[in-house]
Amino acid sequence: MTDAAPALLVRDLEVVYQRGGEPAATAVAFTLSPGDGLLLTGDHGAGKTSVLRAVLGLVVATGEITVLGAPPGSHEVTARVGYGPQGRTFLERHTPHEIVRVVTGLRTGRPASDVANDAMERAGIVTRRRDARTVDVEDIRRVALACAIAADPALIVLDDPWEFPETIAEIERARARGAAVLVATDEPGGFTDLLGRTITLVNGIAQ
Amino acid sequence: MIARIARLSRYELAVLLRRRWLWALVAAGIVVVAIAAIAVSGDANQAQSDNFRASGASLLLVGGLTLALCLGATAIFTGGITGGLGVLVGSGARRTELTLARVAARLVTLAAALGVWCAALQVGSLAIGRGWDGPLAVHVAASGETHAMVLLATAAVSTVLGPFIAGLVGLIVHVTAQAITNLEAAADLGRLGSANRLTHVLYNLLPRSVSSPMIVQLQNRGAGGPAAPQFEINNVAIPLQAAGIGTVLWTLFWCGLFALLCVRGMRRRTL
Repeated sequence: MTDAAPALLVRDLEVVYQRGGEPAATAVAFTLSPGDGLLLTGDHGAGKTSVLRAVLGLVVATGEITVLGAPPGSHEVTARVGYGPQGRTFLERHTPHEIVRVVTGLRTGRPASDVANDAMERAGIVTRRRDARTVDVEDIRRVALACAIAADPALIVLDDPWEFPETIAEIERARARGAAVLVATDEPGGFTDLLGRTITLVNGIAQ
Repeated sequence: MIARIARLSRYELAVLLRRRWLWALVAAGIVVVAIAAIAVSGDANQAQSDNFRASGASLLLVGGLTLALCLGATAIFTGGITGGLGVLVGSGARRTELTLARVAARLVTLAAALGVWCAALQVGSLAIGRGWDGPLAVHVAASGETHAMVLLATAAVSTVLGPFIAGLVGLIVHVTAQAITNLEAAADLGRLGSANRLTHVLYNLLPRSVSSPMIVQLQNRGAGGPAAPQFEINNVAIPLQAAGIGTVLWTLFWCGLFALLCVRGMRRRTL
């Protein structure tokens, strides 16, 4: 931990998807300083993705959340956050090159093909313009990594990343340059040691 | 902001253009025009013109409406479920920009499909020796405005509900707009009795269908085909009127309103 202003501050976070329903995550609290790493783990459905979505402003949440000094979801913040989503459907029918290029463009404010290409190379994506329908699961996980690391954001959020050598290297690289890294996965593997701190969620509650 | 919306629209268009059903529908429309041109080639002058135009109107109604409903129904909801919207918003896209971009991409796709069919109809008209058909081109534009409104209504619902329900609501909007336009013509003639006043009120509140001079002429002569049958109440034909500038602007107003609802619906949506 450093004394710098936190990259991410979360206090008493609660996410409820349906009014009156059970919270997907509740009483979650943590702080990430620049260069810090944090692993959120727990079984499938434990609330890990809900916490990440709250941090990114993708879901309405209560509690205190400050991302890089601003509320989650504000444009100035999200442009400095790298997000690698879970699953394989987020690609829809885009090619890896299209999605990484548009994400890079959003983050940098310009059509930065060179930055997108660099991110894809670092994520180990070999074929950039392949037909989206023929992209396999491994490639999609690499695309998620490329989306997260493109343009070297100040906070990297990875949802269910695969433990590629490139993933490990990029997390180490990001922390070394002072970026905070938040990872959620139900298979911690080598991420536990890599990130240093772990919070386990059980039914949405931090243990 | 405009540049970002344009960039996101291009991104969305890339995916839309990979949808095979879209190409199949556009191609089917061209085949319909070709068949219609062949079918009317032996008809007499007026009948040839009427039948070809009626076939074109049917294509624009059925094909255009199908396109509008399918494009609108997939505007937001599916992207929210797949995470396709989440990755963009999580990377710095404003929800408003993203919504407008996805809707704009769909409107461009709809306009392009209608443009292709319009070109095919003009080629068909030339092939049967009737030359450039200006009224038919105006009808394409009028249909396009109504379909754009239906697309936007469907997209607005798709921010909160799934594609099937969104499509159903879009269809209801289309039917309502057509019905109120026809009923207003009857009310103008005092044919609806005690409902005349209510019809006038509803006509001035609800979205309307934009009827072109060509389709109204065909309908009033009973030559509009299945897509535009003569409007009758108690077996008495009701002459319809083509949309004026007021209806064109009113429909544009509803387009804007539905676009606003799209933006509002996206604001707090889970992505």
